[in-house]
Amino acid sequence: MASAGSGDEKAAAAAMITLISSDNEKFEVTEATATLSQTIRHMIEDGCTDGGVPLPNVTSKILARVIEYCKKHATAAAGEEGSSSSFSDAAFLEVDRAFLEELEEFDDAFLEVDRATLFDLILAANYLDIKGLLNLTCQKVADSVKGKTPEQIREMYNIVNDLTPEEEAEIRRETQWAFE
Amino acid sequence: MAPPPPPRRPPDLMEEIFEEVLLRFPPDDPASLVRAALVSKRWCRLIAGGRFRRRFRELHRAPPMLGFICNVFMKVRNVGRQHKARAWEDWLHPFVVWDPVTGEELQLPSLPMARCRSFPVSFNAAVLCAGGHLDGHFLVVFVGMYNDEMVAYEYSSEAGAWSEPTILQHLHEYVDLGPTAVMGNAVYFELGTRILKFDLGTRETSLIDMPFTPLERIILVTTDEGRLGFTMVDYNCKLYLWSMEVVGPGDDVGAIFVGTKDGFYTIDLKSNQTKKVGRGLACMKNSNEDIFYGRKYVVPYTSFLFPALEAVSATVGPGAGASGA
Repeated sequence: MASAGSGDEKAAAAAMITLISSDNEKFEVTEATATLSQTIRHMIEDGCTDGGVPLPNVTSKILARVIEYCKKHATAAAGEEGSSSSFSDAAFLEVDRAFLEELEEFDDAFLEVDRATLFDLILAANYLDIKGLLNLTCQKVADSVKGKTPEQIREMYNIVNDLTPEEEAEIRRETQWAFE
Repeated sequence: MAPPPPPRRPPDLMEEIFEEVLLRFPPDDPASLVRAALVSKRWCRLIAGGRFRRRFRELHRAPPMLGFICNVFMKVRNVGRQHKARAWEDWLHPFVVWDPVTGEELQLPSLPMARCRSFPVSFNAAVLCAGGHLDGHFLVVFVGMYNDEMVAYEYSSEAGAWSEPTILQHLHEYVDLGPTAVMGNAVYFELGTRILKFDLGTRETSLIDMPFTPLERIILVTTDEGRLGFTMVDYNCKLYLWSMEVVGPGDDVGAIFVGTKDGFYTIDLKSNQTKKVGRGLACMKNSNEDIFYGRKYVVPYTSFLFPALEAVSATVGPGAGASGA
């Protein structure tokens, strides 16, 4: 599995990282994109990325989506750094704002997925420790769960109610206002 | 060189994920978290757990105001018209701590008699969380003015008793029965022209002078920048806010309440935005005069405790319980 490249190849790929999905598909990404993941950042710092980074918990379908997210947001992060160091005039702020709006639109469109994919994205974001993606995906689930009754939530996520009737009655008695 | 083994997948990832999801529930809608706590023992334990609460606070920073409690009518006993003996009997057990969520009332023991032989000329008291907010214990700090000395006592629900008195002699002040402020490790009482500081660690009292002698009624406030201050509305309906540097977290909600004939309003101290939060005072069934000049006390709250949630989580050990995927 390990690919021992020649010295030339290594130099060319210095800033590139290979990510390997659970179904053995390889993705070449820039270091800037990959390091949005704290997990990968630590591996790079420890010099553990030669021969690619195997991600046995992430399928190629999900990894492709995660990389799509990281590419977009890595560009955004680079743009922000540039703007704060050299420009501060109104025109530049205007560009910044337009870019943020575009990013928001991207995020909205990114979340247009079914529930299973959303959960896989959360798992991947959690495993790869990508704060922005974890926040985005978890917020989406939170928004869809927050207005639901306990029964509806159990049904949505196939959860067994193991509270005793007494415990449930006691909590409901104490928190009547939450069910009005 | 062979690739290193990938980081181990943490066990029980689903719970971790639901924790991440539940952390992002809106902090101003606690009912949604309460409903989620009824999903299963595991969820209940998760939401009631100290780790979740700590993370929820960290993520959402300053807690939003969930609501407020307001006295529509001030129930003050008219001692003059009552039988003296009866009034005296009442004063033996003057304080009741009321839990607005459950409606429970706890009668505090009488104040130590050595100092409090008679009625105070004026007094005030504050209820505060003891120690770590979450264990349900509370403190009550009483400050009473007796002729020419001021006496302060601290009641601890954990000890079930009042402390030794702290006495400030040769003081002629009027203790205002208004809102108190908690900042850092001290409670502040308004004395009309000065502010009394009661240190919860040492039980020492000290006086803080105001920048001027206020002609109008003032209200103590705390701000989230760690400042203690007071507000005042003058005859021209101008709202003033003074503040001083005090180190320590306060109990502020970042807003002040203003009562008008038209209704109750909150003014956000950061954005200056006003929001109507209560009906006009005219809706109250008292005479107009009482309504307009009556003092209203408003106690905002940002969190509360549910013993039943704690009880369920206490019955399940770590790793036990069941959840689906």
